[in-house]
Amino acid sequence: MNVRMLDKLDLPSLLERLAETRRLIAPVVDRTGARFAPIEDVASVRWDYRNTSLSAKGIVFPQTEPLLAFRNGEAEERIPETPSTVLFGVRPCDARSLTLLDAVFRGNGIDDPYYAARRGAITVVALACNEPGPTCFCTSVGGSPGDESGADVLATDLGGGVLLRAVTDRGDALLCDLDVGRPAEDGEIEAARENAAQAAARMAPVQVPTDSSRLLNAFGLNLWSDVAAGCIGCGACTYSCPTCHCFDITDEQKRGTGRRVRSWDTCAFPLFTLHGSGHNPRPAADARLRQRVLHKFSYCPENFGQAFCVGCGRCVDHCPTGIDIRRILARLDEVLATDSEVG
Amino acid sequence: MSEVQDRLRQRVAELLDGGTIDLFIGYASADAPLKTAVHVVRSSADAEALVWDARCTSNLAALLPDLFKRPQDQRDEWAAPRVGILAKGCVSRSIVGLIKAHQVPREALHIVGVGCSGVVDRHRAARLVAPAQLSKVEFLGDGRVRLHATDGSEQDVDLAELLLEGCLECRHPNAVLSDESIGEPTTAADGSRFANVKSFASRTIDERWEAFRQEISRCIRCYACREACPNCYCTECFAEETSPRWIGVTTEPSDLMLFHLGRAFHQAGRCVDCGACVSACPQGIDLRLLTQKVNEDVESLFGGEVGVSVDRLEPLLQFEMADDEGFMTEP
Repeated sequence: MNVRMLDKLDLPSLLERLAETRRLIAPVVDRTGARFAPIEDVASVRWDYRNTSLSAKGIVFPQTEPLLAFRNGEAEERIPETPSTVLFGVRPCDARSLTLLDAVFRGNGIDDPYYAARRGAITVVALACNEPGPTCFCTSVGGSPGDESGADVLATDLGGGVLLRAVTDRGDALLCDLDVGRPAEDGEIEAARENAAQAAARMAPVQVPTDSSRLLNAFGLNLWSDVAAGCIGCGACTYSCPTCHCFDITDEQKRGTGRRVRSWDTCAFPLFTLHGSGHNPRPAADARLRQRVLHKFSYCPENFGQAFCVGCGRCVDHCPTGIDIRRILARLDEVLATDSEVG
Repeated sequence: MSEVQDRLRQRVAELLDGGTIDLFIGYASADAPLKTAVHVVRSSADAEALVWDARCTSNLAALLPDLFKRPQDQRDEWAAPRVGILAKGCVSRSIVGLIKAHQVPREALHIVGVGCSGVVDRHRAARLVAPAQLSKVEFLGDGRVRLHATDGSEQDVDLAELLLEGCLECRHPNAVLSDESIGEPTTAADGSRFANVKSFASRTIDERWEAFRQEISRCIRCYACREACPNCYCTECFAEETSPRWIGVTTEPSDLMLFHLGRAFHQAGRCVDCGACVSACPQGIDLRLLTQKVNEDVESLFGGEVGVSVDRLEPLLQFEMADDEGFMTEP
């Protein structure tokens, strides 16, 4: 696998060449902060951002996606035609989240054609973190600032230069094709490792409960009404989350013509589980927040073998009432470890 | 500030131990820069976590209506709780609105008023350090704040530069309705109001349309603005009604615009400009431009501020023969 060292001054020309031959999606900064956007002018790409306000999941799983169009009883599927794309500069937590979304949309005998079309076209160039943010906790949920999972190429900012390490065959092919920089030296590869290790050391660890059999019994604990006391039932946590993947399907029609649309949905909304009868099995915020936490840390480990949290901290950043999943996990861990009635 | 905080903790513990209230709604610290958590205190020991400072942005009145709804599994033996709440000026005005709208019984509330000197707009602070993120914020005293960023940089700014726009125009920093007060009253700012509306109105119609289109395009339909607002207590929101379906579920421009215009119009004669929607929005959308436009219209057409007196009907709940009707034909 290629490991290349690129002078930072050569970065714009690298991006130019990527943008000429492929669709380039990279971080830009506007008055809301950093976000991913299709790039027309490579000068707008930011390399110095901490993390984007929203995750990268909308690129493979858009918030609004027409599935099919229909007219007078005839339906036509709308599989997206996605050009070959490079997702450049995504943080390791977001890159790893793509592997989790893959398990949902392209695993267990399922192959979602809409997701597959978008995901299959993407080569991921992840950007290792040299400095964690105040709400980052990737190291407590199986990730790290230099994690390679989900990345085809992992880039590390080494000050004057950028180390580009091919992780997959696809990433290796990209580096061969671009033929940039020079082969990296051992000291540079070591420096990248050291950067990631130092960033990891600066992150506060979170106690995450992992015993899935005991976690299954967390459903009946008393703590949920307490931790959800401030929850107002908005979707800021789930919609900013890189791994939350629930959706709704709606038909929009007018006189026999219309379309079927898939859109993000969230367990935080009362409507999510409201039955036609008027009964709601999750009648209040405590049951809904419990669903979010246990889905990530209990049901997904059962179904997919992994917790569905990459520790990006966005739900903590965005919660309007200051609910902090790190605190919930620590409390859950404590209760499960000491409560003899559980498990 | 910390004297007020100490007194608050002590009083809440007394109110709970003395049986005056069953629970108290306040703020506690959070492990993220410029954030606090909504804190519901049920025992006097929990009162120790209460805080009161410029990070307390949530409008706590938004939690009230749900507390007075009988749970679906408790039909007979349910009694409404007695609720204590910390109320800065805008929160108290929202409580006044909720009482008049019969969403909250006055007799079940114990309102602890507190003078407010304005709260921080985290989006403004974030813009000062972007593209890095805030890693830590220190309140230095004397109205100065030190912002530490993830790129290692730090800068000192005036607290006034970080406040919510609405706080700079606030005329009611103290509770307009309370059972007791903590700390000294704050002096209200005596500046101009509706500065943002006036500045926006001075632009051409094309510029305004483009600005509105761009601002709204960032919306992710998370409804944090709606849920953070004490006025949004409807059991079913027009945005989610399915028969008839007023608006679609997508993030396409027509759906986003319809939601935000609908939300703003439903605030007419009810919004107290607390800024909770602005603070709640994960995308930093300038929601206040729309709500202040309807606020200005209501005030200039029908007179009177909303939520300042329990005894007086709000402007849009009254009718006078001389009322201006021009808005129907001359938008």
